[in-house]
Amino acid sequence: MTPVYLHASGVTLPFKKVLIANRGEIAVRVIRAAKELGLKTVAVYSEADKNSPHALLADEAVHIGEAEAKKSYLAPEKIMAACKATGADALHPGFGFLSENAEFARTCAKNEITFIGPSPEAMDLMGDKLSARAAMKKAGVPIVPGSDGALKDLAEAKKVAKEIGFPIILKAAAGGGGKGMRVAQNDRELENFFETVQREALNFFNDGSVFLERYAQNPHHIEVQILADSHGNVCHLFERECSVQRRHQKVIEEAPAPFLIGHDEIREKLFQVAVQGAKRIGYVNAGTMEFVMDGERNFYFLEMNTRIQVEHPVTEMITGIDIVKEQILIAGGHKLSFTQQELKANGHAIECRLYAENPHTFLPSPGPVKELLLPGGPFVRVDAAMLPGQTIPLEYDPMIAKLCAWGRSRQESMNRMARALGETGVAGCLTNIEFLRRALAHQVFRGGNYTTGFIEAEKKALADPAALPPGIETEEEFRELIALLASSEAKVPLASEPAPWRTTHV
Amino acid sequence: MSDKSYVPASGEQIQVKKSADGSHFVEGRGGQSTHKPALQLERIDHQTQRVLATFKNARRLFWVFESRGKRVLSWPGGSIELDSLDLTEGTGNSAGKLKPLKLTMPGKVVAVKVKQGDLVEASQPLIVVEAMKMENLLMAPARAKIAKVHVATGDRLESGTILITFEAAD
Repeated sequence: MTPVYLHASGVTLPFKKVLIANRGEIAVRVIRAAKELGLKTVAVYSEADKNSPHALLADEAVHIGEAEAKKSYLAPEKIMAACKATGADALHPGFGFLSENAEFARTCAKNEITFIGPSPEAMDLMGDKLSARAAMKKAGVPIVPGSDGALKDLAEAKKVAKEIGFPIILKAAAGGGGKGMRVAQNDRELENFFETVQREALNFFNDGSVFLERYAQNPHHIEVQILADSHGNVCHLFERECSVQRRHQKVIEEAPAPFLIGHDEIREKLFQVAVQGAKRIGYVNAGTMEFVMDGERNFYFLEMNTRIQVEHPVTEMITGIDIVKEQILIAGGHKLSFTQQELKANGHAIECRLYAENPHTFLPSPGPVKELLLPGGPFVRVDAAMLPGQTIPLEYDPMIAKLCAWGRSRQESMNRMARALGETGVAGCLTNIEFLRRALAHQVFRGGNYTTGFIEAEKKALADPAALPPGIETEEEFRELIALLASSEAKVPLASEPAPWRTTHV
Repeated sequence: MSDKSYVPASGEQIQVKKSADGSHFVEGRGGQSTHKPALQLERIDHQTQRVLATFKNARRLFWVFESRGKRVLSWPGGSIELDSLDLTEGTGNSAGKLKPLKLTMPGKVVAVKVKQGDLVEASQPLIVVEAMKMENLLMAPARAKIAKVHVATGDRLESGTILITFEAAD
């Protein structure tokens, strides 16, 4: 019989020490939830993360290898060794890295370590895009029109493309992360890309299976948060809209979806379909059903992410549910701590991802974070990935923090987010703060009807390099400031008195 | 010590002065002999590169730092790469006459790539000026002939210094 421990939090769980196989703000997030449950926490860190907040926050921290992810966060044997060395009996994978690797989940089970996530079978089923499509179709979830199963050859691809109409997108069945995908506008392009995608599929994902789907130009990206326990209870935690994207990466997320405000019938249908899909595959733990939605609000299943997601805080803010804590409780055999009827979507929340990047080219611009001024105040949540004085590693996502703001209405949450961004300052590297502020102030965003084509279409307005600091109204004034800063005499050394402002909190 | 002066886009002379407490301020805007400083830098901390500026009635925090070889000015709410700014002014081709190339911030001439009488095309590199510890390439505003190069490599320049004057190419 598995042991059960009563923790100081009053919760009983069959494990007492959680290892977090991740880094950055999600590792910090998981440590926080585990600590609140009275669990001991173990961080793993690479050479590049010695001073990262997750390594400093956990009860124990194990150095697992070089900065390169393959030699640390993506090395199952090193993470297993860290579990053994510390006696961790549960593991949370976070997102990215090994979080959707079914083999890794099996390895955990073999070593009698509770994997805080879905079953390896569910990960396998939803990890392969073709089997996910087939399973969802069977469950009555609308899927994007496309080929049933892998395409045999180019002739079949052409036939299917003709049936569903161009443009189409060719995808590697085992693909992900934007790799192994090509959009074809016509037969000729399909001919050109077919072999390329096959080759990419084989090279990147070790599986040459390719399929095609109708390609929706600039759809809305809408997703439903699912939580399911091992007792057959499946709940949805409403939807999120993540249509502000660039290079297939989300930048601003909202809950609920602004595109569905006033369309409760469609929302209910979406929730019902998502819960049904998760139920039919026997899904357990947290997951997200992603959908594309066209201008007429028809929606189609895109994929299911079998893990916690970056943008989960907006859902937490509108529901009051700690999703990560629920994940741990579910893994410990608990029933969901709420029923569907008890859940209410309260108000509106927005998340902005603060990155070290060039705001005009969107290229990563990692460097030292010499100073970090983070926002505060009511209903503002900051999940920071960095501490001041730390250098952003080149090897990983250059995220500095996730900033979230809740409001009773979308309007209030937008205003609060704008206020919070105005308080946020970073010295040492370029950031997208200015870009986020402009996106938030843009009339298309404020209007609430924006698609995944928003950034591309409004690039010029959003990446304008000519913005002036607040309080400085004309270019002339700005030149005065710069001239003053440039004059060498102005570099007066600071006397012994301390700076009158605070700069740190994580 | 001498006060600095430079000429902003409006053409009026501006004095950067040092006050008794060691802070710096700009005065003399609009030609009025007002002693109310328009812009004042109160403190600069070398280590954290912090600058506290008083601008009209506002007090602002700035940071000046170098990122990937470029000078950056940042503040709570945003940032700007300083070398993405046009460091020159008055180079427009108005009324058929090319205005002289002037510097709008203090700097040092690193290289001069043209000489008197040269015919230059629009965007052709003319001169490299180091300002804010960054090299800035100044380019020809239009097709023109170099009437005179007023500076030489190694010169330390004040804001408002005329660098190059042009004449019509034909």
